[in-house]
Amino acid sequence: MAQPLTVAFPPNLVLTDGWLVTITAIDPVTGALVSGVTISEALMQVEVLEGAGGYALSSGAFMFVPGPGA
Amino acid sequence: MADSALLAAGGDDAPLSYVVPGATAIRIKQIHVKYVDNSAGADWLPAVRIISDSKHRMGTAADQAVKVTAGSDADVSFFPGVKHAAGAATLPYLNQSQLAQSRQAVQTITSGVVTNIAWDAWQSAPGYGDMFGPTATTDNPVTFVKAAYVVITLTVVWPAANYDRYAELAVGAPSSQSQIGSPRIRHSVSPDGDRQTLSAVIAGDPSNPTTITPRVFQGSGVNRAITAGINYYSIPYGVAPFVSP
Repeated sequence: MAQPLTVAFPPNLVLTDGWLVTITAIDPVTGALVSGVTISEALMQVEVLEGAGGYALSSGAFMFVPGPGA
Repeated sequence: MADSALLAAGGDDAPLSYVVPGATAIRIKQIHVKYVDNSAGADWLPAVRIISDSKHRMGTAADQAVKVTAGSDADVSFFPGVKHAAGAATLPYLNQSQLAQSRQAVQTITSGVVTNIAWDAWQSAPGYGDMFGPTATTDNPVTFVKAAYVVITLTVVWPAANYDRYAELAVGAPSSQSQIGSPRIRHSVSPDGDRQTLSAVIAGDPSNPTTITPRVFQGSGVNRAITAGINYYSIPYGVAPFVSP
C-alpha cells in the first residue's frame, strides 16, 4: 500500500509563461534525481490568474512531459 | 479567476514537467502525485521543483520528514502553507508508552504491616522502557529513567469486611515540578465492589531519581489476601496535566 504523505509547498507563488513545474524524486542527501521511480498519476490544481480567457486550462497526459534527467 | 485541474495519468518515469503556457499566470493550490517505486536503489524524497522561464531552479518543495523507503510506493500531496507535524521522536516518550502489572495469585497482607505489592505478571506497549527502563517488568518500586509525567491507576481487591485498609502510591524523591506527595485511598468499611481504585499523575525526575512504590495496609487484626493491578501511561513531558494543590 502506498504511503500517504504531505509536503509543504511555497504559498502564493505565481508562475508565468515558460515557467516549469517538475514533479520528481530526489536523493535525501544529495538532492540528485533518483532513477527507478515512476509517476502513475499527477494532478495539479491551479488558480488561473491571467490568460486562458478565464477558462480552464487544457488537461491531459500531454501536459506533463519527461523533463531533464528522465 | 477560474481554477483548473491538470491531470496526467500514465506510467512515466520521474521527473515529469508542466510548462505554463503562453500569456498565462497561475498559482498552484495543490499537487497530488502517485509514485510507484520500481527499482530505486535507495530511499528517496518526493519533490516538486519550480524552474523559471530562464531555466534557473527557483525552489524545491521536499521534506526530509517525508522520506520514502526504497521499494515503497507513495501517494503524496503538496500543499501551500502546511507545516509538517513534529515527529514522535522529538518527544521524550511515545504517547502509547504503557506498563501494566498485576498480582493474579493472592498475596497475603499481614495485619498492621505496610506491604509492597508483589507483582506476578506484566504487559507493555511500545516505548514503555522510556518510563522506567527496558528491564522494568514486575518491578516494585519502579524508577524513572527520564523526566516524565505518568498517569497511574492502581486497583486493589480486598476480602469483604469492615476493617481499616488503604492502597498507596509511595513516591520517593519526587520531582519538585509537581510535588503531590504519596496519593492514598483509605476505607474503614468495605468499599463498593470490595475494591479500592487510586488514580494519580506523577511527575518523575531521573536525576534524583523518583520512584513509585505501590503498597497496601490493612488493620483487621488477621491476615487478608488481595489481588491487584496497576497501569502506567506516560504522556509527553512539557504538557502540564496537573496543578499542585
